Amino acid sequence: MSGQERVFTVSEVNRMADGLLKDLFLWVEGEVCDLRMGYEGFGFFGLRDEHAYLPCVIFGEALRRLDFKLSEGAAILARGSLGIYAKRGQFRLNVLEAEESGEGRLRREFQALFEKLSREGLFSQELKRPLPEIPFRIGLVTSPEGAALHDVLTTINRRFPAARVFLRGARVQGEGAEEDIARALDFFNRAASLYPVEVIILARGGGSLEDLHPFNTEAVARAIRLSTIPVITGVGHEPDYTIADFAADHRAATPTAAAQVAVPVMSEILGRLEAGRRRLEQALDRRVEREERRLGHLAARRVFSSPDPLLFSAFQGLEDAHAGLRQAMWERLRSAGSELREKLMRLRGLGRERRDLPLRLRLAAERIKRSAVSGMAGCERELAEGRGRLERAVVRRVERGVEAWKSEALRLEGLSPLRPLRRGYAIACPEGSRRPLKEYGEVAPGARLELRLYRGMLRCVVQEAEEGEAALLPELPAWP
Amino acid sequence: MESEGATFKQMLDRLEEITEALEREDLELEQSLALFEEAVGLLKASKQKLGESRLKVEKLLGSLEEGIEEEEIEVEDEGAGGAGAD
Repeated sequence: MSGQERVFTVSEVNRMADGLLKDLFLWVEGEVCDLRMGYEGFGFFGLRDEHAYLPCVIFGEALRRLDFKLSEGAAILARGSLGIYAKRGQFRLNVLEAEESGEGRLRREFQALFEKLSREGLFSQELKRPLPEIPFRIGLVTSPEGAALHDVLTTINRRFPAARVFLRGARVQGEGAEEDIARALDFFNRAASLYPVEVIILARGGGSLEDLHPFNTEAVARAIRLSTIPVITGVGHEPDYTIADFAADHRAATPTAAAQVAVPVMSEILGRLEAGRRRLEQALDRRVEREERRLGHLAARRVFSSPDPLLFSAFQGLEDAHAGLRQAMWERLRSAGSELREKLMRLRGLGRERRDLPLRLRLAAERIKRSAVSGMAGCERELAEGRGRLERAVVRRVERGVEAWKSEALRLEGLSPLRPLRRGYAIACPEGSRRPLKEYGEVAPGARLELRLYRGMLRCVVQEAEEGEAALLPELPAWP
Repeated sequence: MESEGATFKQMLDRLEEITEALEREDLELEQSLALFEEAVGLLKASKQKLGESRLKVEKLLGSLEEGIEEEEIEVEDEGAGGAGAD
C-alpha cells in the first residue's frame, strides 16, 4: 500500500458519496412499497418498478404537505434529491414533494373537476336541450380509425338510412385529443350554414381511465355546453362515466347506444305513415258511402220512383248522362292503369330498385283514387242538382193542375142543371122515367110522379090537370 | 333556420291532424276533398323524404377558413368486416 495514497474513514466515504449526489434533484415515478412510519414523523418506503427498487425517506414537513395519503401500492411521482444515509451506507431518495400518478391521480382530478363544474351548474338539467325526434343530418365526432365509427355508422344505417352523417375526425386519445374534440364540436357550430346538422354524436370506444382522459377535461366539457346543437355522448363501455357525459345533452353508454338514441327506426315511421294512409282511405270510403246513401234517399222519393211520363224522358236523359260519366271515369281509370303498367315495365327495364315500386304504385293508386273521387263528386253534384230541378218542376206542375181543376170545377158548377133546385125549383118526372114533364097534357089525373127537390124526392099522385101558357123561365139543359 | 327533421315532424303531425278532422265527418264535401288532396301530398312528400335506402356518410376535412373537403365513406353492411378494438 503506497504511503502516497490517502486512507478515508467510512464516514468520509459516505459523506463524499452523499456530497456527489445531494444536488441532484429529480422526479421519480414508481409504486410505493414497504411503507412504514418512523418515530419523529418520518416515513420510510421504497419505490419500485418492474426491475428495480429505490429506498426513500420523507421527513415530517414534506409528509404533512402531501395532498394525498401515502399508501402501499399507490403509484406516485416523487421529487427529491439523492443521498447516502451514512449510518447504514444506504443510498436513498429524500422526498421533498410527491403526487399521485396514473389512475389514482386521474380519479382525483376527475373528482375535483366534477365538483368544480357541478358548482358552476354546467351539468344542470335545465341546460339539457331536447334531442330532435327525426334528424336527417347528423354530425359525428370520433376517430376516423376507431371501432366507434363503425358501430355508429352501421347502427344508423340499420335504423334510419335516410339520414346523412357528417364525420369530423378527431383524435380521441393522447396528446392533443381534447383540443381536437373541442375544435370538432366548434366546427359543426360554425359550419351550421354549410352543414346544418341537427344533432352531434361524440363517440369513442372503451378504454382505461387514462385512455378516456380527453373526455374528462374542462375544455371538452365546455365545448359541449357551448354547442348550440344538442350533443349525445357515447363513450366507453357501460360503467364508465366521463365529465363529457355529464356535460352532454344526452349520455349513452356506448357508441352504438348513442346512435340508437340519435335516430328513430325507419320502419316505425313508415308504419305511422301507412296507418295514416289507411285511416285516410277509410275516411274517404265512409264519405263516399255517405254521399251514396244520400243519393239513394233522394232517388227513393216518390217523384223519382214513379215519375210523371212527361218528366220521364228528361229524367232518363239525366240517368244516361250519369251512366256516361261513370263510363268516362272507368275509361280514365283504365287508361291510367295501363299507363301505370307501362311505367312499371319501363322501371323494371331500367333495373330500378325494386323496393321503390310498391311505394310508387301506392302513390299512383292514390292519385287515381283521388281523381276518381273528385270525378264522382262532380257527377253526384250534377245529379243532385238535376234531381232537385226535376222535383221542383213536378211540384209546380201538380200545383198548376190543381189550380186548373179548381177553376174548371167552378165553371162546371155554374152550368149544372141541378143548380136552380137550390132556389126551390123541383123537377117532375113520371114514375120510373128520367124525362122531366114540361106540359100538363103529358100525364093524366091519377098518374104517379116523382118530384125531385134540392134535397130529396117526393112521390106524388096527379089529382087533376089544368091547362096553361108556357112559363117565362129559362130553359134548363136536358137532364141526361 | 328550421331543420329538416323538424319540418318532417310537422308534416307527420299535419297528416295526423287532417286524418282526425276527416274522421270526425263533420266537414263539407268540398273541404274534405281539399284536405284529402293535401294529405295525399304530405304522404307522398314524406315517403319521398324517407326514400333513401342507403346511408350517406361524408367525411369533412380542412377548415372553414381554408375550405372544406368532402370525402364519401362507404358504410359496411351489418356483420361484414368491422374493425377490432380501437
